[in-house]
Amino acid sequence: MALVVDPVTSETLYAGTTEGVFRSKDGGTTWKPLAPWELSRRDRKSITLLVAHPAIPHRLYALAEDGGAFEIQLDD
Amino acid sequence: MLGATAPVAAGPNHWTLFGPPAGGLYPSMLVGRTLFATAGGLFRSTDDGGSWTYVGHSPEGMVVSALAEPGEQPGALIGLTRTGRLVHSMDSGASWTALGGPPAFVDRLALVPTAPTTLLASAIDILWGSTDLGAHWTQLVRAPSTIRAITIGPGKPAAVFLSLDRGLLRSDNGGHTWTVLAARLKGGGRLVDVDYLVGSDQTGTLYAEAVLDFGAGLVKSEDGGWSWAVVSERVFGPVLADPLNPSVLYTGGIYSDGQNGFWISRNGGNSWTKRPTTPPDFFGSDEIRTAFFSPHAHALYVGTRSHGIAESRDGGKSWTAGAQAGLFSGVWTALQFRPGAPQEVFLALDGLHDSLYSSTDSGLTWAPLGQPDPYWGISALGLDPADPKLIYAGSPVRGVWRSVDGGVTWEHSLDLLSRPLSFAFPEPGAVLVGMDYGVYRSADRGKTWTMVLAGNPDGSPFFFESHLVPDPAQPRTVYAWTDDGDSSLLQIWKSEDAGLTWRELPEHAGTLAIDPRQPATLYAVEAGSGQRGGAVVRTTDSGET
Repeated sequence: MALVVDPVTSETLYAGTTEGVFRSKDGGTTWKPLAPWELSRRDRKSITLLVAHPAIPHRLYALAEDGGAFEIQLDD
Repeated sequence: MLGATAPVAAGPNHWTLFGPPAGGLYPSMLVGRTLFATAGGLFRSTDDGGSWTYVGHSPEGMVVSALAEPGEQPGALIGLTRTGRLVHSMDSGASWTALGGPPAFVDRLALVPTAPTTLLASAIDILWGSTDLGAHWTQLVRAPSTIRAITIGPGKPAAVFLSLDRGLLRSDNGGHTWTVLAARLKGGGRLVDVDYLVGSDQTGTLYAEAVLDFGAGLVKSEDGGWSWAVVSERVFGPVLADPLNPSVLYTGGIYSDGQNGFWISRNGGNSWTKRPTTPPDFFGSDEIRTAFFSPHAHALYVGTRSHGIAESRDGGKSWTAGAQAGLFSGVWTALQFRPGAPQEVFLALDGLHDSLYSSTDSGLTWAPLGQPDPYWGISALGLDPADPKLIYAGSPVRGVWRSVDGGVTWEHSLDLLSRPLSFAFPEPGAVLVGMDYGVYRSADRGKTWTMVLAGNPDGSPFFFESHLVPDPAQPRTVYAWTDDGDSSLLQIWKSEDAGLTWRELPEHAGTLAIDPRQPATLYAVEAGSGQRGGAVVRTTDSGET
């Protein structure tokens, strides 16, 4: 499992899990899928690392165990 | 200089590929005399695997994870992207366009060789069929559990098999009707779970890796899957049946008396002999994803997870891996932005060569740096904030490597049979590395190291993993979360003197994250969590309560 705190908005967490990437906007109390994790079920099962861009707000990077490196720019 | 693998500007709320064309190795195949492999992108070899050329990606910037050749059209390929969509190419993979697909994300793709316009595609537990190369689709069957693989059986006409989470189905009419195959084994027991299925064209024998109700192992069927017998309970991993000699089987990743490696059986799987590999025992930390035979090259190929394609030209007696120029393969392990210069980003992977890349334009273009360990890739990366030329890299099995020239050349800095997981830089000249078996510290830029956190003082076993989380506001404060390997004992430790001494914090949790805007706030996942789904806990006083 990977866990990272949003560098812009405290209380916002991202978690990489066996079911994809989730976001919490209330300090980890409730979670929602961050965005449709469009990889196949085989690939999305393992997120090994989440990194927030240090300068660009709401930009996130994920490494998947089965090979890929991915980025996403969130609206908010 | 390598291009990025995907549109660099990340789409709003849309995951896109990032980094150079590397990472992961997916099913490879032989089409005519051309070999294809997918490793972060599609690669092609026209000299029997001696060298590889990066071909490209499918639309959407996603890699093609399965390929099929639809018969008479030269250069035509059908691909399955990692987004679960079907694509096709008419120029041997140089360009791709979207193909109509079933109304669901596709997990598996197969082409029926006796009817080359017929495609089969599975989505969770539903098998879809198309007889016009994807223009129209029909639901063929809803399986009783998730479809793991679609296998075209040996013989003509070929039967189609569906390996399920629980059980096996067979169709003799292209998927229109299905029969549940008996799960009983000769001699007793049941075949619970089929992980893969492969057939020998010469004998029609089917081999499968299966979970049995009394264990696991290699099973075979000589009557088309109607009845099964255990061949070996010491064999795990995909098996390749030699196309020229049906009694010869190959496999990697066998766990026989604790030994991994590449193994050969000359009696249909009853007994196995370990074969030498170059580098030695490289299969020991890898797994074979695919295997195929090139009759033109008289060579056997296996695609591995981390080390590219291994090749044998002597009937499997000896194997060479990772020697294929131009083929980038491995699993991404680290992504780091340069402290203070975030347009400079580094990506590292666990692969045999070209394991480290850097980009100075936020990922638009990438260049490979030097290779720290000639045999292994990179497990972790550390960029010294005080010296842009000083870079540390962790080897998955051999400690820490150091570069003082920005990653061009490397020297072994900490030679241990341990895997670094993260680095921290608590003060100028000092570096900490969290490893499998504790935390080490160097006060002289990685020339010498001392273990500073080494498991429990009562002498119980070392940690299995130790990860470092530095405090961004107070660099001399560093946290470490440790795991005994199966999340049964998670601990959080804190050092306030640049890593010299450590004390345990009260919370038994792991996967620690720190709020960069309010560094006194820490989040951690409670013990007994991980894949079992634990709650996130928070402290606002630097972990004291």
